[in-house]
Amino acid sequence: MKKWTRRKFMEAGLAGSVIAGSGMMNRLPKREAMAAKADRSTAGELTAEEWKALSSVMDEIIPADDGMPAASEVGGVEYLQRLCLSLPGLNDDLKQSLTEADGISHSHFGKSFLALTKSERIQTLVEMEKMKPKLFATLRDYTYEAYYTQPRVWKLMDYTFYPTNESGPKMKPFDESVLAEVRRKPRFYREVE
Amino acid sequence: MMAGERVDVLVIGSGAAGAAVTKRLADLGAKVVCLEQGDWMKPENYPSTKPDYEIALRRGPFHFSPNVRRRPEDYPVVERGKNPPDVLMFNAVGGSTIHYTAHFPRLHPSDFGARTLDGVAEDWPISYHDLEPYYDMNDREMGVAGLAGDPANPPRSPRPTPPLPIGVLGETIGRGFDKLGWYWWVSDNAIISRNYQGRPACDLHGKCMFGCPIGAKASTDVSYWPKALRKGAILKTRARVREITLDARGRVDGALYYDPQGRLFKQAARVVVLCANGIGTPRLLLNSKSRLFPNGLANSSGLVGRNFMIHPFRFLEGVFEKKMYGWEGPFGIPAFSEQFYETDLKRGFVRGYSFLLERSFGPLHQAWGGFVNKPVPWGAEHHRVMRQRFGHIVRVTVLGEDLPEESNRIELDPEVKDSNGIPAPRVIYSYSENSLKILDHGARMGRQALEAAGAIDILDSGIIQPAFHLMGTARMGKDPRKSVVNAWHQSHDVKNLFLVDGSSFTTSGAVNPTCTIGALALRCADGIWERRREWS
Repeated sequence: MKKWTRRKFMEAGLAGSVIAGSGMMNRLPKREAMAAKADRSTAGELTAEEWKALSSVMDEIIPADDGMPAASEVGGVEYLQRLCLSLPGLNDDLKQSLTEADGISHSHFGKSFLALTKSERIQTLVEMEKMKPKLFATLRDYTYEAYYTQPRVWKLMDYTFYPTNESGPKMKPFDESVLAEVRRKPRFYREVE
Repeated sequence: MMAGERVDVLVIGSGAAGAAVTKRLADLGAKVVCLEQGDWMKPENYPSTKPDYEIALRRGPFHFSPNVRRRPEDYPVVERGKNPPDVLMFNAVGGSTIHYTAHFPRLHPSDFGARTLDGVAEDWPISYHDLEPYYDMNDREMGVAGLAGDPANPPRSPRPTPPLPIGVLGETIGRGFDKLGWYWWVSDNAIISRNYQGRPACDLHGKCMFGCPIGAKASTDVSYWPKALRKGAILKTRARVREITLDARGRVDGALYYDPQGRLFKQAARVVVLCANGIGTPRLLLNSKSRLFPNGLANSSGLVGRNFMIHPFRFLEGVFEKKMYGWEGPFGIPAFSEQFYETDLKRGFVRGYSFLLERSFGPLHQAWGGFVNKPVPWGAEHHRVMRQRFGHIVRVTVLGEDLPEESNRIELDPEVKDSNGIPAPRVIYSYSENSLKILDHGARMGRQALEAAGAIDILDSGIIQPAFHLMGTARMGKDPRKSVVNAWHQSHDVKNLFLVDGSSFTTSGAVNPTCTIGALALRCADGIWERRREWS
C-alpha cells in the first residue's frame, strides 16, 4: 500500500495547478511553497544578520507611508520568528529568499542587501520578483500575513474584528422597499409542461 | 472483525443528505445507524473565533481542501484533467455544511427538464413540484432567512425567519441591477435571523465559512443531528467505511468500517443509504466490487463516477469610492440575480447562470489578492491600493451551470490510498466550451452591473480552478442504461441500496446545491419508508 505521504499529497494537489489561480483559496503560492520545501534539505536557522536583512526586506514590501507603519514596526519580524517555530519549512523559505536577494544585490551592486540604499533595495526586489516569482510571492505573502494579523494595523485601517463570543456589528435591518422595482416585474422562469 | 446489531437503515455520511435522511427516518419510526468518518467539531476551535482566522485559507486543520487540511479522518483526492478541480469538502459531523456559505437557493422548474426544454443533458425523473414540499420541509428543519415573492422563482411558502441585513453593499449593487432593469432578490440563507428551534439568531459577525460557533448557521450538526439523536438515531463517528457488503441474494446487507485504531467492524442493515458526497459516494461504490458486481456496486450502467459536474465560477470585484464594509454581516450571500438563468440561444450558449452578490473576508485575504487573486502591490503603492480596495469592494460572482459529460469523472487512483489503505478517488475534469462561454458572458454582464452600481474599478479573476459543488456521479433517471438510481434514489441494480447527495443530480442547475440535496434526502427517506415491507 502506498502511504498517504506529504509527497503524495503534493502530487495530488499539484497536478495541473497551471490554472490562473483560484483567488478564493489562494492556492498557488502555498502549493508551490510546499513543493519547494519537499525537495530541499533544511537550510538551518536564520542568523541574526539574516533576520536583520529580512526586516529590511519586509519594510520594502510594506513601507511606512500614508500614516501606516512599516512591517517591522508592528512586530512583523517577531511574528515570523514565532511562526518559524510552528511551521515546518518556513525557515527554509525565508532563508532561500534572503540568499536570492543577497545574490542579486551582489551581482547588480557589488554589495550585500543590507548595505544597499533604499532605491537599490527596491531594484533588487523588483529583480527578484521577475526572476523568482514564486519565491518572491511566498516572501510577500508571509509579510502580508505578519502585518495584517496585527490589531494595531486594523485600528489604523478602520477594520473591526468581531469575535464570535461578543456582539457583532450593528446593521440596518433589511428594508423591503429596495425590492419595489423588481416586485413589479412579471414572472421570469420556465415550467416544464 | 466485530459485528453490530442489525438495524433497519444504515446511512453512510452525516452531511446535508445523511443528516436529513437519518432524521426523517427516525421520525417515521425506523431504527437508523449513521456512520461518519469524521468527528464532532468543537465550535470553540473554529477559526472564526480567532483574529487570525484568514490563515485557514492557506493552511491548518480547517482548510477547505482535504489535501491541505490532512486531518486523520480525511482522504486524499487526486486532481487531474485539463482543468483539475481544487476539491473542497469537509469530513465531520455535518460534512461540508461545516464550511459552506449557507446560501440556500432552489433549482428552477426548468432544471428538471433540460432535455425536454433545451435538448441537452437528460431530464430528471422528478419535477420541481415533486420536490417542492420537501424543499419547504428542509427549510423548516434547517432554519432559513429570506423573503418569498421573487418573480424569477416559483412562489414559495413564507420563510421561517425574515431576511438578514444586506447592508450598504447589497443595497448598492441592487440599485445597479435596478438601473439595468434586471431581476435581483434578497437571498434565502440557512442562517437564522431570529431565534429558532433553540438556536440563537445570527449576530452578524461575518465569518460563516470559518465555522459558526453560535449555531446560527445551519450546519447539520446543529440543525438535524440534535433532533435525530433525540429520536433515537445512532451516530457513530470516526467510522470510515471500506465497502458495502452483499448477502447471498445479491442485496446489500451492511458495510464494513474501520475505527480510528484500524479495527474492522461490520454494521448490518436491511437498507443502506449512501450519502458521502459527489466524490465519496462513487468512490465507495467503485471500492465495493464483488463477483456479482465486478465493476463496482450499482454500476451496470457504467455511469458510477461519470458525468461529474462542478459549478464553474468567475469572480468580479467592483471597487467603490464609498465604504461597503464587506466583512460585516453574515457571509452567506446577501442577494442574488437570476437574470441570465434560463436559456436564450442568442447569447451563444445553452442554459445559464446566477449572479451571487457577495461580501468579502478581512484585510489579509484582501492583501493576498481577494477572490480575484490580484494581490495588492508591494512597495510604495501598497497602502494607497490597500486603502482603495479594502472595505470598498462588492463582489459579483458568476455561478454557471455545468452540463454532464461522461469524460468528467471520478475513478479510483491505482496508487494513492487513504490511511486505512482504501483507494483514493481521482477526479478528472475539463471545462466544456459551453461553460467557458457562460463564464465569459457572465463576466461581461457582471461588469455592466458593477458599473451601473457606480464601481470605479473592476477586478476580474478570469478563469479559475473549479472548486465548489460536487454533483452528478450517480445520477437519477428513469432509464437504467442512462442513470444509476431511479426517482426514489433506489439503485437500479440493488433494490435495498439508495444513493442520495450531490451525486444524484441529473443536471447541476446554476445555484448552490445544498438546499436541493437536503430536499432530495427527505424525499428519499419517505420513499424508503413507504417501501418498508420490501425490506429484507
